[in-house]
Amino acid sequence: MSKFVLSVIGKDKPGILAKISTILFTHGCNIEDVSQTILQTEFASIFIVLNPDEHPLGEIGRSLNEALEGMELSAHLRPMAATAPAPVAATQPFVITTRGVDKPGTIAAVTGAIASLSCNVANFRAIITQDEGVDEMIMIFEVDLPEGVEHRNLRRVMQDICSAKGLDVSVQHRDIFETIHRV
Amino acid sequence: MLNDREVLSTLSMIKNENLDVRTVTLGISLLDCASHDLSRFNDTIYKRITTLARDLVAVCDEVGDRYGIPVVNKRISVSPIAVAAAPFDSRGMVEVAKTLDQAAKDVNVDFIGGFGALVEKGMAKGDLALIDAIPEALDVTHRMCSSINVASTRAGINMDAVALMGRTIKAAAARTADRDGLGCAKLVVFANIPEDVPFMAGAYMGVGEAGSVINVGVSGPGVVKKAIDRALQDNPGAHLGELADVIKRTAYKVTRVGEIIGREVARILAVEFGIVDLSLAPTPNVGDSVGEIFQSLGLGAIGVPGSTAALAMLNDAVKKGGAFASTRVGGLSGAFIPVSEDLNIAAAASAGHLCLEKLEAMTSVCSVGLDMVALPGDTTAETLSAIIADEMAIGMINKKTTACRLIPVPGKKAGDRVYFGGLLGEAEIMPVRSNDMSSSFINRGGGIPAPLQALIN
Repeated sequence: MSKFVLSVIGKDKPGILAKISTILFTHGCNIEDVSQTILQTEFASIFIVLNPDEHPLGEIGRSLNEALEGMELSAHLRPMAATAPAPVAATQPFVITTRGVDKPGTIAAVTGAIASLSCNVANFRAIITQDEGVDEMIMIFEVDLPEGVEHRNLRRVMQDICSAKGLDVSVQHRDIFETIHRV
Repeated sequence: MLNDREVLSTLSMIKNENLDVRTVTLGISLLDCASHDLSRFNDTIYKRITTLARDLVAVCDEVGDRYGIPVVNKRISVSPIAVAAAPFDSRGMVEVAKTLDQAAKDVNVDFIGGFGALVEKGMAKGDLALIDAIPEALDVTHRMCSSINVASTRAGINMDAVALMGRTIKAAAARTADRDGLGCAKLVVFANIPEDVPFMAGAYMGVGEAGSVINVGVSGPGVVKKAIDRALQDNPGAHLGELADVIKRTAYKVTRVGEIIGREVARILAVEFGIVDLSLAPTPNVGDSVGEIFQSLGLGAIGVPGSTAALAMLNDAVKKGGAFASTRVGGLSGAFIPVSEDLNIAAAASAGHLCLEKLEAMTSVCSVGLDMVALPGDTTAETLSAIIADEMAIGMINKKTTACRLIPVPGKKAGDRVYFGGLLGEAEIMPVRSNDMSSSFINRGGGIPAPLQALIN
């Protein structure tokens, strides 16, 4: 049974999900997984959709974009390989938090350092706050640290790059946050 | 996915509010090391301690690093030496103390506790030898702590032991006179001592415990104070019930930190996980003070009228939040009010807001007792014993732990300052009213019988 990935981005407003799911339903599709977020005024979502009747993706895409165009939204579809996912290597979840003045190139430098250790970024948020009139950026990365990589190594790499960029950084196992805040 | 608030508030607790794990204490039973041969006993306990605790500091640092939570102190508690080393005389006990101290030094822990005896009902040969050895043992060691349990709700108060401890404290002060009586800062007299205290100077490994166990002492007065301040910023009219709820929720978070660190350390060391001690333990640093919490609650200083009520609320809320957060709670579990170890409490005492008698009243609702109280050097042994007896009576009648860590500072008088350094802090010497007026009572000796468990008003 074929699947496709659908992403929809554009101006956030009420009724977006209702519109998308109705169109998918009329094409006999079933939403298997979905995630959405809103950054400032912009809506972004990603769907994994089952297409049991093998409707042509071009046709579904046209229906979606025609319906969404007037809502300042656009849809993009691509087929998804139906093969079983490769076995995932064992990892440990860590959270990297940085805080410092918002400068161009900061995110690229920090994410580059994370990638250099083959860490996958599972979640990433950047929050801009004002600290005494200066834009300060807090970045929170949830990363998967491969088991072969020492967390001290991750900390050292992050401290090196963050110190060069003038950022405070902390690296902690994810469990501590859940343990403290969740019953 | 974590939410931003979870991440940022955790970081704030660690970086700005002094959230840490105050101590991970490895309890080690020495009971099966017993021997009539002193050198063989010393060899055996040295090997036992240094083998089991070899990786303690490294593992605590590793686990603390992984979670980003500092483990401030790594400590060891051992079986009461008066039991484990019962055949030896006081000279032998001093040698045992040196061995404990050397073992602690060689595995790089801050303190080792358990040079103690349980004498609430009577004193055996080993108990007397150990107590006799205490002044010299505390003088010649650096990391060793001593605790003597002289009372319990079930046994009453051993007044002979109370009298002996008054003299022992004086002797310990005299032997360490060049260090402001520092030896006494490592000596505690208890009623109802728990078997699983991870905090010094009272930590020892109870005889009912496993072969080895990890007990954890959490901290967090700074976190509690900031949580109260934030709640009052959001709602300046918050009533005490609401603030108790804030304390309870905060204690939950603080305790969870201790639980996760302790369990992980125990797992790596392949040692049983014992308990989390929920005490709010201050340090002599601004922002890490129990006394500051009283001011956040609306009192001018700790010690002013209202302080006992505030402490009762604080202590109870800490226990409620902590008990829910941990699978096994034990130790002292409450708020500590050690005078010299808390800048704010020491300042309140200097300013005259906190006197010895108010401190004693407060100990009836908190977890410990007259803790790190510097007294004039001319306080008599009998008066020290009488102060201890009063404190033991509070513990005995109220079925709770109470303790005295009193330092009669040689050559100094009320109002003089005394410096112990490090976590032990500094303070002004508190006046003792009516010194030397309790001798006849103390010298009667014997015991105060155990109290009724009914008719308890």
